[in-house]
Amino acid sequence: MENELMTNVYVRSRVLSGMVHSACGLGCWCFSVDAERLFYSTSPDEQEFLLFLRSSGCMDYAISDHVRRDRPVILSDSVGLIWAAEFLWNHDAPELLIVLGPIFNSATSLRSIENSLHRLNLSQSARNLLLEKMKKVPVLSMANFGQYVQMMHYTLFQEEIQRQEFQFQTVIEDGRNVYRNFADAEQTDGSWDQTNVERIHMTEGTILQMIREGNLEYRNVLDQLNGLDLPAQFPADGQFRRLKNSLIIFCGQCTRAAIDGGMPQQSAFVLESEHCDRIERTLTMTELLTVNRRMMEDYIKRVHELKKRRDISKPIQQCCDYIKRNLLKPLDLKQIADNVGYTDYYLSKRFYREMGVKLLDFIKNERIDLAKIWLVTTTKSVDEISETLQFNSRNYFGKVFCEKVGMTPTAYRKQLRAYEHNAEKEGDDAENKAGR
Amino acid sequence: MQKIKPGADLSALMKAIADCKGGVYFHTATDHINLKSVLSQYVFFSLVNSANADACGLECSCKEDYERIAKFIV
Repeated sequence: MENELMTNVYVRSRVLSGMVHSACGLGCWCFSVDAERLFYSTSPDEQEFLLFLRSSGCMDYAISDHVRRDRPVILSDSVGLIWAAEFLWNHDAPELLIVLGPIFNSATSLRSIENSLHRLNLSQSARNLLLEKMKKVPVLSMANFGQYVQMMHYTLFQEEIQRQEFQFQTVIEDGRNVYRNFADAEQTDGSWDQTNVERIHMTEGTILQMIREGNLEYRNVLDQLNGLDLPAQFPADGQFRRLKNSLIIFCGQCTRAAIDGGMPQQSAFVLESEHCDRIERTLTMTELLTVNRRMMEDYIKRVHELKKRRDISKPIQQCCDYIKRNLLKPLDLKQIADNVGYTDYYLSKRFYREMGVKLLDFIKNERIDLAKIWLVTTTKSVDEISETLQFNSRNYFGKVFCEKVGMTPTAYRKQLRAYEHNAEKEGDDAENKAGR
Repeated sequence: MQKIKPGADLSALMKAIADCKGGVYFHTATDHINLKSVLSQYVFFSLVNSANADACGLECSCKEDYERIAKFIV
């Protein structure tokens, strides 16, 4: 901290600490790069939480070679405490390690711990000692926590970062059981929150459709939905078994969607088995996040590749590419046929034979797909979308959209807005609880 | 039952315990905690400074594990 740059960054990190702590009681820690020395923290019960951080393996992971040192890493233990860590750089070398946390990402995490403590047959005083400390942990949605992590990154690097660039802790497979099992954590007791169920359903539907399409834009769409990948939307209430079960079921749905998207059944079921094994082996929330993200990517990329490799002639592929490039322009059969050097009659026959869909329907499908993305990710009005995508009228657009999606564009968007509203509400609730 | 050295590095102790073959228990006057689970370790961290040191100690179910935690116990 001898030079001006480091002094400035150090001061900014102190300001960040004050801001996040005053906002929601979120702790901020500043360590040496090897994490041996703690310079300061704003956490209550600093001594105990420091031991939690170190003994759980989270700190070891943060400073391990598994982590890129120019991006934040999200860490979690098997009890449900979640942290984020990032290095502060001085020219070419990391100089300090900043850690945010811990948080719980669901109010019911504490209840789950309480129940697990009961099963450990401890004295009331021993249970209360830990519970009193855990009650001081702020409860934040993963979306809100992600925002604080983005703030941390900006403070340290003065550059913006997308949440999809975060790293997530996974088990270090060096033969050592880094994350010991959470005693009796597999037993469940809580109720399933209806709002979460609806949100999961909405998100699942979007992802499954993207798998069917092999749509590589899924990350951007998910980011618009609520900023983090699917498991963050599950009721992460410390009932880790339930989360795993949900994800295994989701894996089955992804498999069916991949088959719908053209993946051979046998390959799809082999893939399902592999992903289910990976899910089953996870021990922490962040690991589950990583496995889930990889699973979705895997299915989508494979379907995408299969769709690309289909036995489609070059002229028809060229035709499809031309349509996709020109969705926002008026398109007619003659113009497309001219582009590939066919007569319009021959092109329409050959297109149908190879693609299994009429050319004009293909154009409609592509436009509706783009409309769905815009409805999710932009504030464009339905009229504007209709006009930009060359539907002659809002009514015609609505009719075609209804045929393909099963609801009107407005209803589609409304569902997603309700979804976002729930995410915001959850964030507000979490802040209120954190301020208890 | 072996007493924990004053000022021992407790997170290092937990890493040593993770390498133990058998169970390692922290005994207080009222509680017996198996330190192999993360939640139990958190209880231990909360208890260790507030419990009466004279009545507390570690016990290994496998005798050879005492060597692994030797530098942390009196």
